[in-house]
Formats: sequence, C-alpha cells, structure tokens
Amino acid sequence: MLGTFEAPLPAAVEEGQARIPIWRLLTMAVAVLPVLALHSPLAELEAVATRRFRHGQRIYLAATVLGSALVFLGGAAIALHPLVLLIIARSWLAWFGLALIAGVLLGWRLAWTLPVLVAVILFYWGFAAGEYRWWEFSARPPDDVASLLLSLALLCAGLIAYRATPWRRRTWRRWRGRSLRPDRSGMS
Amino acid sequence: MRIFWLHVRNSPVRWTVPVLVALDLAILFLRTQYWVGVWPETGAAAQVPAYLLGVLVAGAAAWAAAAPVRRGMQEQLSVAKVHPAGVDGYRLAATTAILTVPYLIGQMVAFAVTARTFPPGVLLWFAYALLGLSVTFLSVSLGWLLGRFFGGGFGAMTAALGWLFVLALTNFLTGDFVVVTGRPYLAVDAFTLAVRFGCLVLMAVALLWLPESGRRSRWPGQGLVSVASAAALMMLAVVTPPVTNRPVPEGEGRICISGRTTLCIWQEQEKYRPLMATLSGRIDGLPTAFTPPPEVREFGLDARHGLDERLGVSPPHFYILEGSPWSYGGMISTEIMSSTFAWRDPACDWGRMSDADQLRSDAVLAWLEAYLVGDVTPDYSTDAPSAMQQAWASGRRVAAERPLPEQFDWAAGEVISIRGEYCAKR
Repeated sequence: MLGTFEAPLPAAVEEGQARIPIWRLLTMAVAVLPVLALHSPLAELEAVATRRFRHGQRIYLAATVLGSALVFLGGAAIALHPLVLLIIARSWLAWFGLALIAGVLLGWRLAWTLPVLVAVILFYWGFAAGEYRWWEFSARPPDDVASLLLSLALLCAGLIAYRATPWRRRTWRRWRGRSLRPDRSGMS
Repeated sequence: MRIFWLHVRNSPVRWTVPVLVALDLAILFLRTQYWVGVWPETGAAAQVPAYLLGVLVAGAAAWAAAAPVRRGMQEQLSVAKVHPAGVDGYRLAATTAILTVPYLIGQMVAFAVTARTFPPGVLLWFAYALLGLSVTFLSVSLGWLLGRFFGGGFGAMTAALGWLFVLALTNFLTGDFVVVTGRPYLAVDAFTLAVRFGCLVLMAVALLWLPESGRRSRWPGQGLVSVASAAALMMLAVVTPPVTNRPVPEGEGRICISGRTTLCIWQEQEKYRPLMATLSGRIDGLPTAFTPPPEVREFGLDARHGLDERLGVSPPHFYILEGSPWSYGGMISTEIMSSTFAWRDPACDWGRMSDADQLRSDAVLAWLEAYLVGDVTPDYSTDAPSAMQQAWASGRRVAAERPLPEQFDWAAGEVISIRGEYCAKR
C-alpha cells in the first residue's frame, strides 16, 4: 500500500512535474539489495578467490535474489494490480543487471550508484509527448517488447560483468593474444 | 581552514563531482529552453536539478558519513583529543561544500546564459538559487543522518531512497515543495526562505551531536534527542511553502504596447516584447466588426486578477506559458470574442443563442486564434466535444487556405450576422 504513494519529481515535460509511484522506487531498492549484500570485510581477497568460493557466492546471490523477489512480489501482489507485477518483474531484471555492473566496477557496496543514476535519468526524461519512451523499462506497459529486450540486455551485461573475475579476464586476454600471434605454440 | 581543506581534499565523495556536474547541466539544457532570458524562470529551471541530484547527493553524503565505519577508524576518533562534534563538523562541512559544487556550477551557467541579455529582475533569480541551495543542503543532511545510522553499504542506498521518500511525503503534506517553474507573477518569499535556512542550520548542529555507532552515548537519550530534533527540523524546513504571489507592480514594473488593445506584460518578460508588438499589430488589423477590449494585461499585473471569473469581475488577462504563442494567443482571442459578443450588453440576448450559431462563433474564435498566433496547428491537446473541435477545425481551415482579405471578409461577415440575429441594432 505504501507503493501507491507518489513522489513528485521534476520532469522534462510541460509544466514540468512527474508523479513517480513509490513501487517503482521500491523495486529498484529491493533488486539492488542482494548485490549490496555481497559485500564482506574480506572483499579484496574474495575478488581473487577460487572456484569453490565463487560457487558459494553464486548460490548465496541466487538465494537472496529469489528470496527477496518472492517476498516483494508477494507483497506487491496483495497491494497492487496484477499487471503492475509484470512491470515490476521486467524492471527487476534491468535493475539487477545494472547493480551487478556497478558492483563489479566500483565494489559491491557502491552497486547502488548506477541504478540510482539510471533511475534519475528515467524519471526525468522518460516521459515525453504523452507516453513513456521505449527505454523507460520501469514504466512501460507490461506487454512492451522494446523495454523487455533492454532489460534482458542489461541483465546479460550484468551477468557477464559478474563472470568477469580477474582469473577469467586474464584468460580472455590470453585468448586474444593467442589469436593475434598465430605462430606461437599454445601458451595456456 | 587548513583542516577544512584537508578534509575536502581527502573526502571520499570528491570523485562524484564530475558526474554530478554533467548530470546537472544535462538536466538544465536537455529540455525546453524557454527559461533563457527571463530571470525567475532561469532561477527555477536551474534549481530543478537540486531535487534530482538530491538522490545521488544524499547517497554520497551517507557514504561520506559512514567513512570512519568503513575504514575502521571509530576507535581512534573516539579517543582523539578533538571533540567528536568538531570532527564531525569538519567532515560535514567538507561534504556539504563538495556536494554543493555541481548545483552551484549549474546556477552559474544558467546565470551566464541569461546574463547575455540581462533583463530586469535579477533578485528573483537569486532567490530561486537560494531555494535550490536549501534543497541541496537538505539532501546532504538527510544523507548524513541515514549514513550515520545504517553504516557503509546499506546506508547509502537507504539515503538515496530516503530522499525520494521525503519527496513523496511532501507530496502528501503540502504539495508545493518541488518548484519547477518561475512564473513572473510568483516569487520566493524571503521570510519562509530564511525560516528554511534557519531550520537547516539547526538541523546541521543536531547532526553533529549524533552518537557514534558502536559506542555508548555520552549522555542518556543522546541518540533519540538528536535524531528526533533533526527529523523535526527537517519536516519544518520541508513544509514551509516557498513560493507566493508577487504584489502588483507600479508603472515601470510592466511593459505596455499600445494599439487598438493595450497589451501589458511583466518587465521580467522583456524578451517577449517583439512577439507582443507583432500581436498588437495583428489586433490593429482586425476588421471593425470586432471590438477588442481596451487593455489586456498579463496575469498578476492587475489587483483584480484571479477573482471569481464566473462573476465576471476579473478583467481580461492572459498567461505566457513556456514561451508558447498559443498560450497567450488563445486567451487574448477569447477576450476579444468576449468583448465583441459582450454578455453584459443590454441590447443583446445571448441566452437564446442556438447551437448552430454557437458553433459558428466557435469557428470564428478558432480562426481568430490562428490569425493572432500566425499558425494553424495548435501545440495543445483538448478533449472538447467533437462538434466543437470540428467547428475549430473549420475556422483554422479558413486561416490556412484563404488569402487574408477574404479571411477578414468572412470573419466580419460571421460576426455581423450573429450579432444581427441576437442584438437589437448596431
């Protein structure tokens, strides 16, 4: 029920003010939360940890994501219209992907920066000439394809960034090095 | 001061400044540019980024507030010789200084853009600039408060969302915390602005007395009192409505263009003078069947504006909204039609006007609007009944297709015939 409150924010439209319903903000928060939870005091060691640790981290991340998604969607199902749930689910993917990208680049504790920046951009410029733009994945109708593709793309980018551990990046660089110098025998 | 600069140079949020400056300028310029050249609109447009940047600023302030916790420096700071409020004071001041820079840069750029023509009314811009500054201070304070309480990781995101929740709360409480336009008949009230800054200063002092996390507080209830007072002051700062009506100016406060109808606008809107002159010329060219009102003023220039329009006590007025000619063209054409087909004319009996004749006068109104604006496709949308919209479309077709003398003949003919049906003589 809290989700139906609206936050007034300036927007680049005539008479300049948009009303952003809170559930769009809460969705972003809950999607980013599991990524923030990945932080630990040993974060620098974990960045170069081996397979077993990463396996455990993946399970932890998946569990927290599923758990928070279920709780949030369950709560939203009670309080909000069912079509809104589809919008929430789609924007969830995008926020999660953005949080992963920011988390990998800046550290898990700063994983909120990119989602919040993108949220500000969406809220300000996302509504024009009477309807939401195609890239406004947190507010387009639930059957919209373009924003769904964008959300999936952001999710994939996030997952790729997550997989890009220092070990793998070294391997990828070696692959690239090997293909540029074909006369050298295999160097792995 | 040396210590202050030391904190600024080593602040964890100094790297956010380029990103925030870019975002601020993007918000300022990647939108309609009608604010250029009018001081109050410039100030309002440049303080809009304060609300949006406030999300990121609150998060950054929380990050800075939690820096000792992240670095594990709490013990060293708690046994330092310096009073903990002193340490926090320097850190809060440095954080505020850094996070205010993007907003100030945005205001300076907006100032420079409008200063090329330098119309009157700079003080109005300054008042809006201070308003935005108070909003930035508010977001920094909120971020600091939440950052101190929730620590490094979750505190920053909580603060970013906390700012959005505060905006939602203001929508619930007052509805006019977020200022987006600077219409010339409105101005920022100096008293409420002073009250707001007073609350923010007191709130900053309250923030310095927050207990350090993980340590016993120095006097009982320190946490509760400081948080409660900070929250109360923040609420007080937020509910003060900043923008009020301006008093009606005397002589030089307005620019008037004489003609068949005298058009008056606020002197701050000096850049619309050529448009008004063109409009006045077009009114002068109307056929004599039309009787335009002697004077039409922009809203707020007459003390009687805004009084109950149904009772007819409000004199003719118009708005210039976002620089659009349709905003003033539409209202001025309505005023001309109202004075031509005057309701209060004792010789006329408009009460028995038939629907068909009503639609004819609607068509003339649409033609008049298109003629005064000089364009036939309006930039507004309407949900008027379809018969009315068709009448308007036919009036605009006349303006688009026929040559000007023929348009005048048609319009004068329509006015004379409608008046002839319902008015005694003339």
